[in-house]
Amino acid sequence: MNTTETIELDIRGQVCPSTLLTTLREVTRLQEEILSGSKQVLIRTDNRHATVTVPQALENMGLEVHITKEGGSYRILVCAEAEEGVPSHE
Amino acid sequence: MSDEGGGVLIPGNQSDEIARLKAENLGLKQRERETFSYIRNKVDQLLEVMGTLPLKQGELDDKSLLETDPIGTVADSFRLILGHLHKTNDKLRLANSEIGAILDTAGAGILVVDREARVTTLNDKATELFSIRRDAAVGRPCHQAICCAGAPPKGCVLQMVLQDKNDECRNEWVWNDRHFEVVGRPLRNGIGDISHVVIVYAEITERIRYEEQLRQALANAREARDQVNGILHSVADGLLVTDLEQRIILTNPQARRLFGKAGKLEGRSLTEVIGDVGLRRAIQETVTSGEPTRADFTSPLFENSIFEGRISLLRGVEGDPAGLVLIMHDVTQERAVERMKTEFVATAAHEFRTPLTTILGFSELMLDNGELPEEDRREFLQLIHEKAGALSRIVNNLLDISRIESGEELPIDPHDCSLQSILDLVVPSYVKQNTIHDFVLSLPEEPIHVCVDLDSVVEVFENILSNAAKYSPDGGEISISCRQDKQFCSISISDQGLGMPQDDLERVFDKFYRANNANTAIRGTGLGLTIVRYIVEAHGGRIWLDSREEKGTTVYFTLPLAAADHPEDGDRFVGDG
Repeated sequence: MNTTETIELDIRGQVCPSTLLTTLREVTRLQEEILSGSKQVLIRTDNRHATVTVPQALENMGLEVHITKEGGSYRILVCAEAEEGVPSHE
Repeated sequence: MSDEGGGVLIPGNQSDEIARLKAENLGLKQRERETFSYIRNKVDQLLEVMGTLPLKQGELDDKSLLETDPIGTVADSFRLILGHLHKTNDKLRLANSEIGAILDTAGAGILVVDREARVTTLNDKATELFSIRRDAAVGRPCHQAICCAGAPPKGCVLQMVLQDKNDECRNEWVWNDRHFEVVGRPLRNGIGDISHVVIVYAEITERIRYEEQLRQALANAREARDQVNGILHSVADGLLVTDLEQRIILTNPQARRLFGKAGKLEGRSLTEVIGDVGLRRAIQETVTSGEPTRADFTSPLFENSIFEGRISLLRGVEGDPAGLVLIMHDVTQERAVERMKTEFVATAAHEFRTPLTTILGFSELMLDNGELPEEDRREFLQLIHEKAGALSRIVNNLLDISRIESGEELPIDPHDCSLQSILDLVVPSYVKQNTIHDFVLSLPEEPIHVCVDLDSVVEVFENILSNAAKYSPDGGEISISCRQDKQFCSISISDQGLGMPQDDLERVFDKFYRANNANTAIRGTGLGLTIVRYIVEAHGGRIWLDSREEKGTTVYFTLPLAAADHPEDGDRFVGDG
């Protein structure tokens, strides 16, 4: 069974557009690994606006985004889009 | 160099240079500001495209802005977005091809309409089903293009979908005598509103026809089953059907009565139900040989009855054995008739042989002795003549019976005559022949006239008197009495003979029948009373018996009176005997 490495990106304290730009830079840097399914990125942010802008941008790239609230911040998990019938990497 | 105040004096050309450089520096700084401003504007523009906020003033200094490289980051993101768009476009093209193929090959007519009911797409099957060209349908409201109506008709699936915002199905929609099942499904836009509706028309005309045929076939099958059940219940014979294991699978009420089981026989073994050894043997013979067999049997529940069981193989559709069929027929009457026929042959042979012996003996004697005295010769001829007459009567009786049974009527030629004249013809000869019996005649004082065929009625009296004499003991009284009723004369002839069982009374008029207690030494063909009944009934009269064993028998019969307006006709026969 393939294991997926999770890269954490803690951008708590940052606000938009910095949160989006930082996320985009990290995701584009790791795009190959993410698309192949070997890696996924877990973003921690306390900027609520980012929970809208980040998923919108990443979903346009064909990535799958899952948001959960964790205390006062948010966890945004970014991974490759699941193929039909294949469960996601979360 | 310095100036006059003690400072450094800068030559004039140098100060010009400095001023120029300062100006140039100012210009460069201005361009740098403009350049960063342009970059920040473009970054904000890109960030807006990405759907996020612009950079805040002072959030990043120019150096950090260059290091962060937001344009490069967004550009890289765009590359990924574009790549995803390409893939998405490829998928869309594939999906379009798939949808096109599905639409073209679908067995149902498919229509896509917008919210205003305008047709946007329809497949080949829809054009074929509704006989409409694609270009004539697209863009027109579907109620015009398909339903040929000015407004959406009642029960329109599109309107149902738009109203309920869900899938809708109409089980049967009739269009030009064709039946359709119609399903509507909404298509929603990005914000979940219904933008189009897909309507699928599956033609079910054939299915409806098959369903109707099936309903008809079921009704026919039920009718046939009811008919078969009716027949099974109506036939007088018992019917029993088994499977190959001889387990009963079908019976009718007659069979159930025969085996004394009001409950179900079905499911039980045939050998468990049938106890008669002969019938069981016949069943086994059919099982072994495959040929039909039959056997008589009796049932403890019907003590005086005889049944014939006919066993044959039950054949399946392919002709292969599937079980047994047992039909049980009450043959009590047939067997009795057969027995009577057998007895008749023996009796008739005896009846014929006795007079024939006399005829042969005396004729032979006359032939061998040509010179017999005249007195003897006359006596012998008289005997031959009497016995030939007896034979003739037997033959006539048989011919009468045969004629009646073949549908002919007895040749009756009625004339008015007095009853006394008939009795005068019959009784004296019996009195003369039967000296051992006492004959008592009881007649009213007033003469009775009847309208009868004289010869036939004489035969009636002779037959009844003959029986009375045959079965009466020596010294027994034989009485004849007559009385006149409204239209008939009632005559009764009683004896003090053997009498007969009550069960025989109903059958005593059957041909060949002889009472069970009849003395077999007493001669008789069993045809006499049969002929008597035919003669009496041919005159419109009735005949019946009253009898007690060891006490005697009385025969009653009626004959029609002569018409009151022809008394002279009746007088014509008085004294004829």
